[in-house]
Amino acid sequence: MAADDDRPDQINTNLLPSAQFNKLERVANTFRETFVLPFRQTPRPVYYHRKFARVPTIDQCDISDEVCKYEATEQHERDKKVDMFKIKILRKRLTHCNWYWGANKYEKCQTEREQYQDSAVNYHLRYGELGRTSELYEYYMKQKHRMIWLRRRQEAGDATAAYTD
Amino acid sequence: MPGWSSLRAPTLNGARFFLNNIRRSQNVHTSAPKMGGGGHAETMVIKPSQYQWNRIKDELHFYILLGVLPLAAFATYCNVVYGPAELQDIPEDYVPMPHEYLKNPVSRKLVAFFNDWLMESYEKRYEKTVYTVWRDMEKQNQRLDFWKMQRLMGERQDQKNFYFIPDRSNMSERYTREMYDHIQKIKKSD
Repeated sequence: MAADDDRPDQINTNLLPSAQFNKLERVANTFRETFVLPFRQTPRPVYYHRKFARVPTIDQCDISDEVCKYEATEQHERDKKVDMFKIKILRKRLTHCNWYWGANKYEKCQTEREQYQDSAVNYHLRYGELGRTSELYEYYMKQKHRMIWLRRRQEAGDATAAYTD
Repeated sequence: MPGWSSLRAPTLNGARFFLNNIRRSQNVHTSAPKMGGGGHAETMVIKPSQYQWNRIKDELHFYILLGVLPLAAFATYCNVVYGPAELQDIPEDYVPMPHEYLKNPVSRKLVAFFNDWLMESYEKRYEKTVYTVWRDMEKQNQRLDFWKMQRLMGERQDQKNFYFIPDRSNMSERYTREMYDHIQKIKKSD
């Protein structure tokens, strides 16, 4: 996918089809080619994405080690944002597919719909129903309670209740 | 509602006064203070105030010429000459500068200019917070040790002359050693 896949497309899917194609873009492109591009410097500036090293997670920290806990919370927030962006991309794919197919969307967009719904369910299992001001140990305890619940269901006879990451 | 009719006379008086003054606003001669030389003295024109309109023009002029135009010129210069940055992978064994993590050319220029003066990098900020977390953790552990020591001394009552010197400030190792030596010297001289 392109580097900016998480940003919205320039085409607004609510506009009329005639307004979407080329009129304003042609004017803007001619302006850009005549007044902007000739003055550009050739060694173009470059930007990078920040690389974060993996640190020990909350389950590997001592109970009284505040520095380890702080770094684990930072890492957890970053991972949560990454998961949010993944779901945004899948949702955007689904909406584009729906818009494209219109009346046929229930037949043609099955893969996108399945992907989005599975990822949404997994996100909810991991991060949902906890609130905005939750701390890291609450997410950790949620995982623990989920494992216990699944184990009890499995012991009670439900074969599909297995813990997966 | 019965009070509205009593305002009829004052409003008529006010309207009359207003209309009379508008009709005569061109040539009203005042008394002595405005008399100049040459026969035609200055007239004081009675008209509504132009204060707000003049002030609006003044402030628009100020903010546009000193705010909008310089910043727009700076932004167009950055975008036309440099343009938005392109994304690449970090090369091996290279630590990028803080302004090389940004895409917008205006913010790149500002961050590169004010790098360590007004804006601190993400790594520096992070290390500072980690240090404060560690320092407060150390302080709290010292407090817990002190209270535990006091509690045990009170329970066991078996220590006679042991006193723990609490380090409640940013004292360095050297200072505590000097204080210890000073106390030892006092004890020896007794």
